Amino acid sequence: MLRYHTQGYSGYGVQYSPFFDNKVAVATGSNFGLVGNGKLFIIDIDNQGRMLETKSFVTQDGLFDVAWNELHENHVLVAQGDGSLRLFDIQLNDYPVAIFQEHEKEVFSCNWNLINKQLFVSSSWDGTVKVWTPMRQSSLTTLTPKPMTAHNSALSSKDIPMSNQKRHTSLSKNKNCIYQSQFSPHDPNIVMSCAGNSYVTMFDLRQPANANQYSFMAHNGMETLTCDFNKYRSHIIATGGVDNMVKVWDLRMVRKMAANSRQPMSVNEICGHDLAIRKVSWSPHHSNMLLSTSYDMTCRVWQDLSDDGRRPTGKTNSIDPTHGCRFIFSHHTEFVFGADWSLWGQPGYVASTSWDGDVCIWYAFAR
Amino acid sequence: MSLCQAGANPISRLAGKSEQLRGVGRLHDARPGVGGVRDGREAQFRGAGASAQPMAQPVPHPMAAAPAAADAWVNQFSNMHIKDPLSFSSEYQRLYSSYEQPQAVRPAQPQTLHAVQPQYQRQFYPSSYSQSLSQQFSQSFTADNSALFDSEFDQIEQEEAAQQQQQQQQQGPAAQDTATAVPALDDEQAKFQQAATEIYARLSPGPQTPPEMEAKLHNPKLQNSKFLGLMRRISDGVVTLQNDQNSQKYTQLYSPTTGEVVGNEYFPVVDAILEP
Repeated sequence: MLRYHTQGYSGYGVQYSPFFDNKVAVATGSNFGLVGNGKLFIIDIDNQGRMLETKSFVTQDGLFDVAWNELHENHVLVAQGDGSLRLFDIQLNDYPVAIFQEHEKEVFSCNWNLINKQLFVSSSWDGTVKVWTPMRQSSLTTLTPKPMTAHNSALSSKDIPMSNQKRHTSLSKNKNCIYQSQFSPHDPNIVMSCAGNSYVTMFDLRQPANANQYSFMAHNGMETLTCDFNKYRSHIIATGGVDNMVKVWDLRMVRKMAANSRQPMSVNEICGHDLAIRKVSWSPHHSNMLLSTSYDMTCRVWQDLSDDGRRPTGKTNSIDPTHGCRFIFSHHTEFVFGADWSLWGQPGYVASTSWDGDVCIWYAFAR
Repeated sequence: MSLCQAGANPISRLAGKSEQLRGVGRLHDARPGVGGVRDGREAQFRGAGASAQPMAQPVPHPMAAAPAAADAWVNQFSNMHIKDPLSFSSEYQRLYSSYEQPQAVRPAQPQTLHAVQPQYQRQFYPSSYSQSLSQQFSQSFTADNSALFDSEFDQIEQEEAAQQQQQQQQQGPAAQDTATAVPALDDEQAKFQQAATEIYARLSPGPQTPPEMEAKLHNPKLQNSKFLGLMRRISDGVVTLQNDQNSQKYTQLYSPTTGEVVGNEYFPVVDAILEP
């Protein structure tokens, strides 16, 4: 395992460079991201296996996510707590080369389109998803998930489960917060987002605004904090939420059920984490392996037993004694927020970052 | 486990039950004499309904013996033997009524069915972010906890708060003078403290922690967490947000008693871009 400590800063997001096999970018915030500056770290791994900081940029607010520009090897985008997105050139010093300021609240995620590499997407606490291009300061389009804008009684009745229990009143908080949005790696026009109202929404950028989306409740009315597209099976996604579960969904079934205003069922549910799931990420090398990070201070690697790599098995992870868990990385000593699979070299290397300030690189298939 | 499998029905059932219990509470609060015979009849039936006995058995009640023509139908009705083939077993009803009992005897709390928490209008608040975190912890725990535990815990908290208030009143002006030595928290600092208190309470083992949560909360990593330590200090009022006078924003954490900065000091960064 390799380790780098971001002194005084807590890690929120990490991503391997798509251009260099020894470079990772890390988004951090001081005071656990609650208040104060942020800092973008660019860390290189040298031939001796050491992790070295080669560049850093201090920002006026905490950074919550990071994405490398897929067209420019030196450009890194960050999502900032003051509602802006900033594009840094790692060959330059101190300041960003572009600022994208439209969101009205904290920006929680940013993601670069892997197919149409002129585009990136962001999501924010203000309840919007915005699609951008680096060439323009203003966004190309703003997407608002429909459950956020539902006002009539028929639609609101489809919202979170009703409850009179005091412990469930918190369900009504943060409903507008969109924790993550990302482009599909299979179709450049599909954007997925997940939100505090538990809904996952799929947008099709080719469709008119009144019919460009469908959504479903993913985590029983509790917040859905993360989502990811399977890199091999275009209709499979994974979500993670505050019910401590990772769920795997088949979008073909979801769409059909959503069209009939029915609640879809997940094709697989993965239990094992003790606290909320903060990040899920499918392996870029395997169609049935995924990674999750959690507030329980661990990263876990799971095998999705509903698929054997070639075809659906009809099984779920509940049949397995370990619930399909293949590896637990427990080095971190605070909540683990960010993780990314390496695209490079032998499959199975992962970079993870946590509020303890550590950036770790470890092997997911170690026995 | 998905919503379809477990979540919706018990929750909506409980919602209905709670509304019924609130109604009972209000009626029982009515002073004797004001409601008259009508209240007595209602109490009779309600007593029968709330008891652990199955509906099939007649419930003896002192009021039932009163010989009044107007009450004849009441007596007949209460003496009827109705066998409901769809009713729950007596064992279930007994267990359920014993579950409901602690909720029924408690005075009605001001919480509403869908109490909407105030949304913080001001943007980019650290306190709102910490509240979001607090919610995430709270929800991840509520997947395991029982409603009973939460309501019990709330009651204890309320009692403690009342006791503290009473003690402060008894201690008089001397104690108040010492309290005023620490600067009073503004709204946002108070919300920040509240969120930290909630997080700390959720993640710390206590006497009321249910057994299934014990192991999780006694995790040494969680016990040694610096974040949890900070939450404890914020909840104790030892640390709070510091407002930058120039930018009118909260930029760092500090100790209100010593004035020292806690954690990372804030550095103003110019909001500029590099021109190509």
